[in-house]
Amino acid sequence: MSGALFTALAALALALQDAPPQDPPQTEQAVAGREAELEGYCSPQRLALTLSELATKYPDFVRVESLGKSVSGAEIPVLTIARLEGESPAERPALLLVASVEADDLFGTELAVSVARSLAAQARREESLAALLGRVVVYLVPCLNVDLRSQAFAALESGSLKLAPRKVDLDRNFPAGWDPLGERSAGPYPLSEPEARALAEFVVARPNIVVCTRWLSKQEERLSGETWPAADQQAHERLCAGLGAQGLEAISRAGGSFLRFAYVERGAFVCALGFPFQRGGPLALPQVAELAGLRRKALASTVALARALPRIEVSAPVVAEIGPGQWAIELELRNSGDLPTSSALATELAVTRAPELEVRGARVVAAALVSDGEARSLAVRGERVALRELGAGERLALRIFVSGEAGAPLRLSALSARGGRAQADAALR
Amino acid sequence: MHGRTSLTLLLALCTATAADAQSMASGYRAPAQVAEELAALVAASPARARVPQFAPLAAAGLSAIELAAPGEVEPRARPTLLLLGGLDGVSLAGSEAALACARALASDASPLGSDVSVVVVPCASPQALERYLALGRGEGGDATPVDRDRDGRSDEDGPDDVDGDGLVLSMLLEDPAGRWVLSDDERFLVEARAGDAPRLSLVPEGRDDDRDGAFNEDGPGGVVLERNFPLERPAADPLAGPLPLSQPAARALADFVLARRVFAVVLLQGSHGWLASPGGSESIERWAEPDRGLYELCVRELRSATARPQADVLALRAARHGAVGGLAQDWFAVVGGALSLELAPWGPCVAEPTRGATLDARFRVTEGVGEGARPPLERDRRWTSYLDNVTGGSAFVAWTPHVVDGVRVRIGGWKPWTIENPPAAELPRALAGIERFVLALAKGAPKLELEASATRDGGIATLRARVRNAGRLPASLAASSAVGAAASVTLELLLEEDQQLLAGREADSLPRLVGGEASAEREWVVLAPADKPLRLRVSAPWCNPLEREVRP
Repeated sequence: MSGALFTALAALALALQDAPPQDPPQTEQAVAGREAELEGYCSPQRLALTLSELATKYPDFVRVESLGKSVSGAEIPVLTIARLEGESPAERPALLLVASVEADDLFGTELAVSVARSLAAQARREESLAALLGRVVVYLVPCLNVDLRSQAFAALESGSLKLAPRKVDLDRNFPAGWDPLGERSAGPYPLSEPEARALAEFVVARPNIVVCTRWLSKQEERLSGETWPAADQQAHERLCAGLGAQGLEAISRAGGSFLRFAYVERGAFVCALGFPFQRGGPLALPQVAELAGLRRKALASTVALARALPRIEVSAPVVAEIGPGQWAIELELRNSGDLPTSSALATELAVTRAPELEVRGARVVAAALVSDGEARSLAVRGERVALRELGAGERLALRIFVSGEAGAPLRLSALSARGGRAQADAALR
Repeated sequence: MHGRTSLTLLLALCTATAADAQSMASGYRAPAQVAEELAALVAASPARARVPQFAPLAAAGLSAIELAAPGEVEPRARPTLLLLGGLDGVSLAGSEAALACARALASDASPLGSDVSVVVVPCASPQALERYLALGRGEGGDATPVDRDRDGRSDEDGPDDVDGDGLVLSMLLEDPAGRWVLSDDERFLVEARAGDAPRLSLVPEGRDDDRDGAFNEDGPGGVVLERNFPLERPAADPLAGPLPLSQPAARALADFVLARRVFAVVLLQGSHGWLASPGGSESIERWAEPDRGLYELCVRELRSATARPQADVLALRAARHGAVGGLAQDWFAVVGGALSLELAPWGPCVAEPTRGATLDARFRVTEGVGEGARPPLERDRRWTSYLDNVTGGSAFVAWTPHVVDGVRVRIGGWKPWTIENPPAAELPRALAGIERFVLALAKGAPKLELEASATRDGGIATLRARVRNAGRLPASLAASSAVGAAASVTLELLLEEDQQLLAGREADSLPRLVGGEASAEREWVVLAPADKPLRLRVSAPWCNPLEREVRP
């Protein structure tokens, strides 16, 4: 059964690669394999139903929205996977997974649906995962190229493999390194394709996205190629090494690709995860039996990436009176994540708001960063103290000078676009 | 005449106040007024003027007019010249120039041929132009809120009239990391070098409204449309937009160029006074090099039409005195494959084209100018003759010390309606001849002609043909276009079922034809019944396709 599916999808994948359209032989085996194929791979209709069921079954953890529309007008779904009660997901560090961009990673949709289901189901059972989803958010685009999937399934249903090749390669249609002279399939302008534009606008509108990930059927040859900020290279190496993934090397010769855009224009960390599988033909998709193993790997890597996201923490403040109605507050900020609160490039591009400490309950007079016994003043804007980004595991010792009435309650909130929010309470006494 | 104009202007500028600044602009139309004028032109000249059939333009808030003489080919299928005014969001003079062209082309006396169409968008960045008109200044941003200082708020720290003189001018702050120092003519700044002091930062006049220690770093005004295009776009610059073609108006213009047979785009904007060829960056300037002859032809047309003394081709980065990325003009050329030009209505060469002995009204060195101060840059010196001799130096408000939010600053600078846009009274001079230049471009559109003859010997016909470009402009750019439009001329023999090609190519790609050039002769041998003609078709990116029947 699965062999028939394998054959059919392999032929389909070939057809998607601009091969001259041809009618495949209508074998009994191929026809019989169709039912099994629908079990293993989601048709667009089935995908929509499955996502709807997930949102209904796990309303506390899964939200399904539309990213935008495809060329043909089909909705592109996007999932928000997080503990949805409490703090807005938009204020938490985020991981973005984008699946099924090209014919080569058509299988990503199946992995994405499985990851979404597993995360939600396990979060119901395991408090540690629920806590993780309480402080981070996973955005999941299970099928960016919905038209490709529609074409594929329509072709399977009809028994014909005549597919109109797409003129513009979605993964060459993003802004960074977009090269209309060198790459004919780059499109007349970046984001000329509605799917690419919808995804780019989604990323721009969410400065909390720290890491962008794609699942690929193969990994590009590693290149030394371009030079990126050393701090970002090191952060990517730490992020990707344990997963067997590629970071910045994955974008070195991918002008106009989504991951290149995510890093070069938005300063997000990037991760390209390879999913090697048995290949029956030059562009074969995984057989249904193989998908189970790939799903486990997808889930494990997703959880690992989510755990690596930056996490701002605030120590308990120590308050001391330094004059009539004037107080010094000492506290420590820490990033307990494995990634910095911003990549070096994001800081350079100023794509996100720098971290701040908000003080409620007293008037901020001055603030200082204490390092090696020396206190350096920090800019104060109203009730907010301007901070710098924090590296992985880094601590900042702060001294805040405020005016206020004795006994007044105080709330100190650390805010970081990509490190999340943390707060501590104290009283002026 | 010239002296009288100068004297009038001098007197006007000497007594300039805020009200005067407004009146200096009174000859400019707001985008809404321009839209009304376009509607009136369409109503008055229904045979020649219409609203272009391209819905995204109107959907993006752009008022446009299409001018085309009655003819066999419908206007939207013809080679099209696109004329954009003020896409930079600053150049109201560009809008006025575009409107003047539309008026001239809509007139019954217009010699516009029936084989070409001209689409005019006089206010290509209407929101920005409206703001500029109201304030007499601006950076060209549209109405999109932009958080330039990335503090989570947009447009919260804009310019103010701190000294209450009715003008919002410029402000100099002493800043050890500042980019500038005063030149020996204190109206102009030069880039600081090591050891220069005092270093200065230049910002618009105003308070630190958001109390972040920076002055006027996040004022009203969003994305500059002409910089919202993809090529070499600076991703970190908020004025270039969050994404390429993120702004509906910019995207509508890009889509228009892709959808229509646009052979030329003329952007009327800027204050350099010249005609600039593509090349906001060095790489794009290099890309445009194969078309140098075409740009030289355009410069000659400009000289003839406007009497501007431009001697040679000038790339955009040279005209603007610095590289700029993400420019519309570059995209129209490289991707749109069009002859893409920027013509700045106003500039030093227009403001003061010729003059005899100068009356030097320069401000002399005052306090704050360091020892060994350098003279102004060449680009600034070009303005001094106009500013000294026509305005008598009154267009500049001398730097005056103030304390703003506890910081010592100097407030002064150029008054509105001097450099970026001329005083309204000077508009006629700035616009003179531009419509002639545009008309010359439109009339010079490439036009294919087919010269063919055939002989027959029994069932065998021999067909010979050559293609001629009867226009002044070439049939396409020589530089390779990025959108797949073939740069060459294609000549096809359209065979019927009962016609069989014995020799020759069914479709032949001819070299690009410059204006007036004819191709080498092509020959076909066809086995064909005697009663049917042979049909040829010729096409090129910028031209109306042409089909012709030939009977042996």
